[in-house]
Amino acid sequence: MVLKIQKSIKKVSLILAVLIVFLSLNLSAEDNEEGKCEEAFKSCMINALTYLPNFALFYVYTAYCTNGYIFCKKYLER
Amino acid sequence: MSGKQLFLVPFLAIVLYSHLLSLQRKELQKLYLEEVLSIGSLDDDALFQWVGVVADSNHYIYVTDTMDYSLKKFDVKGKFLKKTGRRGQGPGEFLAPRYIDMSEQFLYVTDQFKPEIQVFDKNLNYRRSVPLSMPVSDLKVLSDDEIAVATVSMTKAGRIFIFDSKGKVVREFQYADKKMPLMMDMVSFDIDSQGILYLAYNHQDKIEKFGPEGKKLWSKNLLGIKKVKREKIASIELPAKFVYKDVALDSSGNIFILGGSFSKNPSSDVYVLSPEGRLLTTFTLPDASHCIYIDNKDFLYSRANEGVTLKKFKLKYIYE
Repeated sequence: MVLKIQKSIKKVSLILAVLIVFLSLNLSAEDNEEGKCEEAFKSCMINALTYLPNFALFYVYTAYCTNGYIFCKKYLER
Repeated sequence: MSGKQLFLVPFLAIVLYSHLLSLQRKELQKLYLEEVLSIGSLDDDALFQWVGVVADSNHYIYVTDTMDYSLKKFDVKGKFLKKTGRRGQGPGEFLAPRYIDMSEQFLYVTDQFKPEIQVFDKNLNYRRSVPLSMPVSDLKVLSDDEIAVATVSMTKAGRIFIFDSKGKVVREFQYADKKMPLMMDMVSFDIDSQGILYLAYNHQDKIEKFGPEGKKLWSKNLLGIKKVKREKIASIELPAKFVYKDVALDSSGNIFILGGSFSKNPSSDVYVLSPEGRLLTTFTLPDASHCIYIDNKDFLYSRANEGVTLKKFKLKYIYE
């Protein structure tokens, strides 16, 4: 019984943690008007989250997302 | 020889030498562009959205076309010759082809989403790949054994890495004194044949020159910008605007810097500095561009029509 409760707590904590990360990405309705580069960057960062268990991979993926965002701004921005 | 002649000969030599020196000291007063070639338009499919360009000594032009997932070759008159590549992750395939540079024999092409530089011969045949451990924000091929790369670093101060043909870092050069907030030390760079390095910071008002041994020779700011605003995107603070977008050198060692959002004509103004860092003149591209490239015959290449067109200009120098 105690073991079951502990497992549930762990599950809920993990879900909450992922939720907090998602919310902190500011994916609200108001963001619909942001530029293409910003949208692409957020999309890339969401994909990066899938690598989170392996922090080294997540770090590299984030660097690629950031590089891509900067290139997008360089190309499109006046 | 009489006494008079003995005096006159060295005197005339000195006068002639001084005159020759004064001729050499003539400074670039103005520079304008004469369009000589236009490749691609809204009415054809020569180019869809080009990103990188390089020209060889025979005036062939090589272009990365990101929306066409390809590398393309054109002749000196702009006639399409050949294309290679398709969308994919395999050898010779592209997900998002970006920067290109070349050695005597080979073309080196980066890809936004592939951790490697792909190498092609001048007939656009895929030869091999150089594995890379980092994303590339600018590229310069020094030789077939040395490729200089500027990159994004989340933790280290700004540096340029020199890779060998196997993708091993053989040298690294730290140009920033300390780690700056994310992206603030990103640069575009060029290296001349003497190994002298020129940096144009993308998000700071700073242009720098370093000697081959790594010593900073000078640092300039042209626009009087103290700080570039940063904004939060996906919880990460990133610089909002570009100060300088690219740097290129002409055959005289003059430095051409493409301005960004803070220029009077955003992404179109080009500042020309002497090798000593003195601002000589400014000119404006007819269309906004993300890059400038100057070949070894002093032709300048830039973008038009949002990347559908590649323009080639002869640089016309006016000296005082």
